[in-house]
Amino acid sequence: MDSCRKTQKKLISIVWNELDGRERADLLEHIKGCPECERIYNEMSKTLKKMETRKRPEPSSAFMEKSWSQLKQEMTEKKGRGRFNIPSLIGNLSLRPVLSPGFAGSILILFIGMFIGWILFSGKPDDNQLQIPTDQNTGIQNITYQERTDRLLERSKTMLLAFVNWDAKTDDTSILDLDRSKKLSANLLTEAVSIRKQLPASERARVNELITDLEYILLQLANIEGENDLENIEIIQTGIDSRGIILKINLEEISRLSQKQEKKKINENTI
Amino acid sequence: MQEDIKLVNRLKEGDESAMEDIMNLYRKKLYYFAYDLVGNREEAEDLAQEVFFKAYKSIHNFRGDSQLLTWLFRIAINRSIDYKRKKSHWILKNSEPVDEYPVIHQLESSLNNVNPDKVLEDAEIERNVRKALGSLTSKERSAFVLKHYQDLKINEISKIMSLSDGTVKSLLHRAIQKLRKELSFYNVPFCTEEN
Repeated sequence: MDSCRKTQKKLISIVWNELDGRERADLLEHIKGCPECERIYNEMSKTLKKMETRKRPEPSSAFMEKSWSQLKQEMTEKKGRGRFNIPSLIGNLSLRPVLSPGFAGSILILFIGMFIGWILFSGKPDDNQLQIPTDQNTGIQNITYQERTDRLLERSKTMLLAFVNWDAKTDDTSILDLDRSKKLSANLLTEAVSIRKQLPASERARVNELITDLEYILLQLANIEGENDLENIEIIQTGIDSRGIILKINLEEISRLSQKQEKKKINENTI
Repeated sequence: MQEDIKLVNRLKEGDESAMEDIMNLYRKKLYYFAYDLVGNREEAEDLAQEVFFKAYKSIHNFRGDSQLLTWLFRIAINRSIDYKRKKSHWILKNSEPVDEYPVIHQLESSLNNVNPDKVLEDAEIERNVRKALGSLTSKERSAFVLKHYQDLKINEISKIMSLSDGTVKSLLHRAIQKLRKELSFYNVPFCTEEN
């Protein structure tokens, strides 16, 4: 009994060949002569063999070829973020030998000028942003990726909710305003494809999954044949439900909101 | 080990091309490790990339008392836990993994001369293995993957995971028990394998 307990305690080391010499030989001999220990040992070995017979997907060629250039870019950005560290800037540019009171004075004047400029013109970019033209096809402003995604999710959710809440037994299809919904779906679909192509690496997997699901539904919506196409409307309702799209959008919106708040906090702390 | 130290010293001295050499050396290994942790190709690539960036930023913390790859594994384990926290669901437990089709396409392209049934069978096995790995806790999975796929010694794993040897053995034991239970359900492809 004691030797069974001792053997079973060491089975992990035996199956992965972490024991050698006399100890291993003794334990294997016990296993051969003990049906219970042999059964456990065989089951463990079989399980490990099963876990070995697999073919994991190869990394994508983009990962193999571009990961270094991406990292290099991030490394440059990291350096860029530290650009107001004057001593390191001077050190990196090897300007230390020429640093003189006159030179330091020039740098100081330059920074004062930049500061005044910043105070005077800091409102300007916002004014410009307001004037960014709206995309005629999608109705979505050609602004940042984040804002575009927010708009896409918000508008899609509003439209999908109308479909989810629509009841074939009690409601008329006119409530859904199918002509308008079809056009809007086609536009949102174009926008979804465009956003998905530009997804930054940090958001690729999660947002990609959500937008792909969304594209599938938007495509079906854009292809509704008419007000009597009840069958397709039901398929769309089932699709929204089975893919949990509304829930996913809600989760994504919550996540994006908390990211924004975090960024805001960081910005406030930096200031 | 000597090669690692040389590369790290070059990087510490500001030679950024050393980072490229490190990536060339360990990119694939780190990707497969990340894949076993997160169970999804895209996320594994993102995770591996994040690990390299983190390693670059904190290279001064690498003291050279372990192999560079095991240090990268350690970062990957910590980052993968963050990934799990960020996600609303754990991809490995998903009934239909996101990159199911890429796996099949890839197998198809790499095994052009192979029977399509075999391709599907391989994809099925891979899916089952991923599901089985998904049944483990983060710690069990990390320990198992380091032991089984990276072939590290138990004392190396305990260093990476900051645990005792005994705890690592317990994690491995529990992991095998769970895997056995999970895999016993998927007998069809494996029976073919064993025959």
